[in-house]
Amino acid sequence: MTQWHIAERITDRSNPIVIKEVRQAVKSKAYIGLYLVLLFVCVVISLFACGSYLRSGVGSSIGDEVFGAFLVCLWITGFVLMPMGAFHSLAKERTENTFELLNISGLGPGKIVRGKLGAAIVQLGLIYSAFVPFMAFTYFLRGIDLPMMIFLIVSTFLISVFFIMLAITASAIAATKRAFGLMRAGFFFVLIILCFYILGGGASLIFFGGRMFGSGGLSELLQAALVTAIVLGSYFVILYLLAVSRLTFLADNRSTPLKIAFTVQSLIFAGLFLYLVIETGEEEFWIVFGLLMAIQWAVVGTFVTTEPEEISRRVAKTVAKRRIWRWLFGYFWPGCNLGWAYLTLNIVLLLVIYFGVPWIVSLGWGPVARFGLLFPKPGAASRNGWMFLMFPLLIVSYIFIFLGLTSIIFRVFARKQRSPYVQRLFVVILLALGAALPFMIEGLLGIFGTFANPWLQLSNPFALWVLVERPRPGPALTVIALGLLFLVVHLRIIGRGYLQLGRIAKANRARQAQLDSSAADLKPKANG
Amino acid sequence: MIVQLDNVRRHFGPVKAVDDISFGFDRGTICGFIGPNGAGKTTTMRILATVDVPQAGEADICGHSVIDYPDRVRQRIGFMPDYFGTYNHMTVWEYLDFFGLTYGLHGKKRFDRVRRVMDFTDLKPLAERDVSDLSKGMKQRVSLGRALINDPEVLILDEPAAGLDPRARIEVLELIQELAANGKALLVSSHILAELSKICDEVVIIDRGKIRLTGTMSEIRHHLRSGRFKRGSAADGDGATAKKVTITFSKPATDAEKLILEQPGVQEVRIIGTEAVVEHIGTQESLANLLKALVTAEWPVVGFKSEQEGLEDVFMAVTEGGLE
Repeated sequence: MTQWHIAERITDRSNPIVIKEVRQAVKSKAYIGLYLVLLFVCVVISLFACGSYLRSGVGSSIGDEVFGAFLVCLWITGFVLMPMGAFHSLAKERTENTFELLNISGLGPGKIVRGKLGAAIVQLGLIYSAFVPFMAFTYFLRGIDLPMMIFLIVSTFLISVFFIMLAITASAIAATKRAFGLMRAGFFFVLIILCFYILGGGASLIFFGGRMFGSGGLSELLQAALVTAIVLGSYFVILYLLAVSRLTFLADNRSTPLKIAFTVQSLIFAGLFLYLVIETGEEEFWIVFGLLMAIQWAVVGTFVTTEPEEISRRVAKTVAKRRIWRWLFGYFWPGCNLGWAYLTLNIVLLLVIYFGVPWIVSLGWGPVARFGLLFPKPGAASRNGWMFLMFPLLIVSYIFIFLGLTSIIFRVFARKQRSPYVQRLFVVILLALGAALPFMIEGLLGIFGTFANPWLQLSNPFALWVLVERPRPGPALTVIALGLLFLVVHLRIIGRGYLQLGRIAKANRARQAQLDSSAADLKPKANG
Repeated sequence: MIVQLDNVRRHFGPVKAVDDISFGFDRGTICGFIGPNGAGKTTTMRILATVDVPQAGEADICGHSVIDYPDRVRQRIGFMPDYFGTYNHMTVWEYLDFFGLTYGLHGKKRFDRVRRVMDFTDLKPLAERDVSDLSKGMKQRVSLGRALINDPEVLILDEPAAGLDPRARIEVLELIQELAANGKALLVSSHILAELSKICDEVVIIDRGKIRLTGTMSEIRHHLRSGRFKRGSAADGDGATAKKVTITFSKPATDAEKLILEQPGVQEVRIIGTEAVVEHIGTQESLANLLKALVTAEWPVVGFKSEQEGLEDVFMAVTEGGLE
């Protein structure tokens, strides 16, 4: 088989976007220029390293410093330049409308996102191929051990891939040219901040832990890496599905895969944090889990409860025929009514896990008995227990209050303005108003130190600690009661969502019967 | 019918982009899709291209519903939108080859297909040229080539000749005719109605989301002859037709306006220098009388040319006044 045939076979089996992007990259002045500049930087660093090594005498350890210099270049490239390139690539595809042409060809949005990611990884790989030989050379300058070098190079690569996925998702979220401009500036800023943050952490790893693999820190490092990999890995999948969802035509199902992913991720996180609590004996990990989930579901809730009510006919076609499946899994379908069902069921599930697991453990169940500390022991007034109980309940209540208020306002008073974007913006404004209101009252009445009065802070979801820290439960219980009230009001909407599914299934059956009867009518004619 | 729309409806809130429209056409047919801006052409084309879904009604291509089986439909259609959709740093060959890959064409099959498309669209001499450096006309050919790469049975072309110089326009329209001769079904929207009327077999006129007129070109001409349109509908029967007459004089014709207007059948006169453009409804005899009157009055007539009303006039009539 000739080289041409092999190349042809690789082309045939690869994602077309990867082929296209690599073809474009090798012809683009920007990429070639970057590659040459990086090569030049590598040569300059190596020359400096050689000079420094010779000056400080044979046997000195300058490997960690030189490796650090290479790594910084790799970080800037992998954490900022390559993600920005991926962002720009998809943004161009969308602003110049080529994206639509790709979508109606054989490539679905999933393939497009994977292609963009794959192309960026190939380009990143080419840059690594320039760096890695220089970096390997630093081993001979001593000061850093090989496993640490491999660990840093591999983790840098994986974090770069994560950032590229983040860039693709950010690019998929923007829709207009102006939004792309704003997003580009904001994303660049975020990447720079993240890059500096990683620079700090990475430098300490090199200079203080350059030989960590030789000491007892190995298992801790690997454990931390594993936990980070699970957390980032799950968010990587979410980002991928989010990008795919944003690139899917409005007529298709944009929500279901993402909804499933969020539920699965919550369950994985529950397991992960439970493991951390058991391993470290730190019960605070469970509260961190609660807070993380609360924030995540507040964001997810904002999106799912503000989806358009109408379900496209293409999506409607996929609604389950059997009622039992519709009742069991219907909440994964798109639409704001079912979005309420999805949010409520997931929050209930997480509350059951959050309170249920420690309760089981406090009964002394199994090998996780240590974990029972969290739940207040009978007869013992634990402050930790009160916070453990109140924090999640208050956050959940605030989620229902703010989203419920938005939903009611747009359903009753502003039906015509009920676009998802307007509603989401409204939620943000409402949050800001809620947070600012206590301080506005303070200004109007001339009262100072509102944090001293929890009743004044009722509208402020960011001052939960004021409600939790006080021994009086009145304000906290008021918020919980309001949250419950909004939930009860929205039970009707959840019911409407399920009835909508029922109607769709009925219409599908009627349409199928009509198609069957027309097919039956045609048969005798064909025979005749 | 290879393309069939039945009672298709697509509303965007209060805006009725497409409102209960039905039409269809068969293989080897060029169907002109005409309408003013915002009439619903693009929405209809996007529904047929599986990009959008109607809220009611059915739309089938090659017997497959665009709602239920978008993937099957996508394999059978070629969509050429009103934008080019080109890439930087890509030659014409690479561009077509890439779209061949996206349609799942592999190896020699893809190679042959790209070559055949390049032959057909006459792009071979430009194979190694960068797509982004091409002229508008050439880009349009590349765009057509892209739409043809999967050898579709149905082509949906949105303004294929827009913005092109006369030569490039004629060449693109010739390609369209050739495609129809090869058995493809084409839905072509265009604003250049005079040229569209030359190549179309059928016409669908849409305005404010509703179909205003549909039929073959001969049916439409028949309607015109029978004076069924409001505009120019003052035909007095007995073979009366609406015509635009251009009369050329050897001197400025300003003073001839009054005389022309006095003649029977004359609806309107516009004098432009030495020319008088007359809107006339009547028989051949009344036209002859108009010429006779001018010659008798010793007006130096050097040209007398009458044109039957074309697609442009029909379009104006049905989108402004509507059918009687």
